[in-house]
Amino acid sequence: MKKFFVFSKLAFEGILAHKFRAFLSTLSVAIGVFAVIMMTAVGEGAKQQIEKEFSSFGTDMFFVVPGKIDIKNLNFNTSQSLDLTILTEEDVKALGKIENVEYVSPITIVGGLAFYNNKPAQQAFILSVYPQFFKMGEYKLLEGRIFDENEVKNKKPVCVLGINAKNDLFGQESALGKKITIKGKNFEVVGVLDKSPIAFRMFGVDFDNIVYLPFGSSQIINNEKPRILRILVKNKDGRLIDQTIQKAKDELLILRNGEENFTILKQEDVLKILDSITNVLIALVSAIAAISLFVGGIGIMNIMLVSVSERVKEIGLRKAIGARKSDILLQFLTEAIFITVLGGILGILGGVGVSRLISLWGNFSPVVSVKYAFLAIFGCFLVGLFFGILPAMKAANLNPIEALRHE
Amino acid sequence: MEFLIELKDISKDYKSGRIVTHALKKINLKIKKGEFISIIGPSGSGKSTLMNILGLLDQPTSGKYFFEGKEISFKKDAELAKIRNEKIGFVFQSFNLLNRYNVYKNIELPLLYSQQKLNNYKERIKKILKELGLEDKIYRKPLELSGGEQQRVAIARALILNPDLVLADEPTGNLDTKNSHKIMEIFQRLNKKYNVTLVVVTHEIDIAKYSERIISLKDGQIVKEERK
Repeated sequence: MKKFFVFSKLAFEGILAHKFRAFLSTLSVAIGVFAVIMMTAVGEGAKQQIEKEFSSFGTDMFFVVPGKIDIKNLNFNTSQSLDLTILTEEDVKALGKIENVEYVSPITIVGGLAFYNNKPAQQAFILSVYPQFFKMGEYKLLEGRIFDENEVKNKKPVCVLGINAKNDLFGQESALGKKITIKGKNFEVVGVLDKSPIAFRMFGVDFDNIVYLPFGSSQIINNEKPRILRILVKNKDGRLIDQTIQKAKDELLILRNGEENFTILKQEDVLKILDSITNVLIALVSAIAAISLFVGGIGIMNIMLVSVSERVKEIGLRKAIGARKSDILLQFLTEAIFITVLGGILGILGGVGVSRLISLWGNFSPVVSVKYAFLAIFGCFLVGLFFGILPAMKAANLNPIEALRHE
Repeated sequence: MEFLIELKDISKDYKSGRIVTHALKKINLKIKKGEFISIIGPSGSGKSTLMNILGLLDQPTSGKYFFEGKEISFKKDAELAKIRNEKIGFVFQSFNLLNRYNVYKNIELPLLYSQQKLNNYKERIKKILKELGLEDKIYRKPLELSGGEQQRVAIARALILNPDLVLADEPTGNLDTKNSHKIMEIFQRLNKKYNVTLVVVTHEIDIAKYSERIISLKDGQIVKEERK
């Protein structure tokens, strides 16, 4: 304990003797650590945000996507996943007949822009859905009504607007009863939705900036089969979801003669996929971290070598008055570790500070995880040890007579 | 009578390429506790080499070294360091004080490496400084002191752990005549008062005259021994 105190004091003195030099080498480590902490914080923040959205998706819901996804290995066939002709209205109807299924709705993408008075809503997506979609999402209406089953069946030219899409097109003006134009066809606004519940923000899409058409009405615009992006299913009882998923899978397989070109995902699966993506990211960041710390470490080694050659005479004296090799070794090693760990702490503090600023300034909060902060400090300790050992050994092995004669 | 130091057939060779220099040739020397010895000789006589071996800073090529009756093993760094720390004090020609430390911290330096527990060492440092007439310089830095004062600080540092032996290598080499004699008087006084064994290396006979025994070295051999 006394030794630790002594060496810490000596290391401090060594650093204070060359404040600017020590500051620069500390900085090189601090910048590396700062970059790593920021990257992991942004990754962690994104992960937590998406997780939050998905966990509110509900354990009683699942959805069908085109293409076979191997969740464990995160393997999927991209062209199949983007093939929006794979899922059909027959699939939707079959899923609706399964025992325990409460609501079912396809989500299809309709291309094009929505206009009002020749002014387009640039950001608004146009989707077509079943009326049940709004029940699943527990949407609330601001005004008007939701289109009904008959309007779906009869392909009526009506639409429901998300709040942002309404504001984009109409501003403060009332939208009810007015007609918007999509690819030259008119659609009457029958309802405006309140802000979407959190559960429906999950696809990375702003669900408030959407023009909803009745499923099938898209054929007014183009006479194609609807391009189904997802089929959403809500189960009556969340505890029975696995059984329902199994039945749904069987039904869909029968419809396509056993070819499994779709995937059924529930909340848990999505979180799993998310996790494996984050793990890949973390591995990448760790590699960058290793490189940046390595570069910092080379700087430290350089500084320590200079420091040793400047203090040759002092080392000789210390040996003469009773310092052992190990004492000299530890003195310089402690100094190197002090610099790197201090750099690590500064980098983390910088990361925490900038994360705070980002959360104050934007609507995204990076999360500095305690785990990575500790890992970073431990990494800095190892770098100090690894790059400090050579200069420290050089110092420890100096011949005291020659060192004392050194000018 | 037990000797503090006993050298038996100590030789030291230096190799530089193919040329071998015999710096010391079978030196036999016994030093009693409390003796005040000077080693004189021209440059190249081997006196510095002998000093370094006495101070356990260098290892002889052959021969045996007994310190307090025990043979020294030059292989064990930690053991040598412990003896240097606790039993030997060094005084150098160029003082070798650390300029960034003040006087007090320079004197304190050997304590850092000591395994002994010292309770009232602050008092001890003050007492030694007073004895050497430096009590008002305790918080000065070495470069603010005269050469004579710096050497006195170095002597204080050599004495702080109560060594059995103080080795001084040309302690007056960087000082003027007046200060040189002052330093030698201090050595003489400390030797009498504390019975500390003193070995001074010098090439000036005037300086050597302060000691009880003068050993003359030439070409790595003892050529003359005088006692007062």
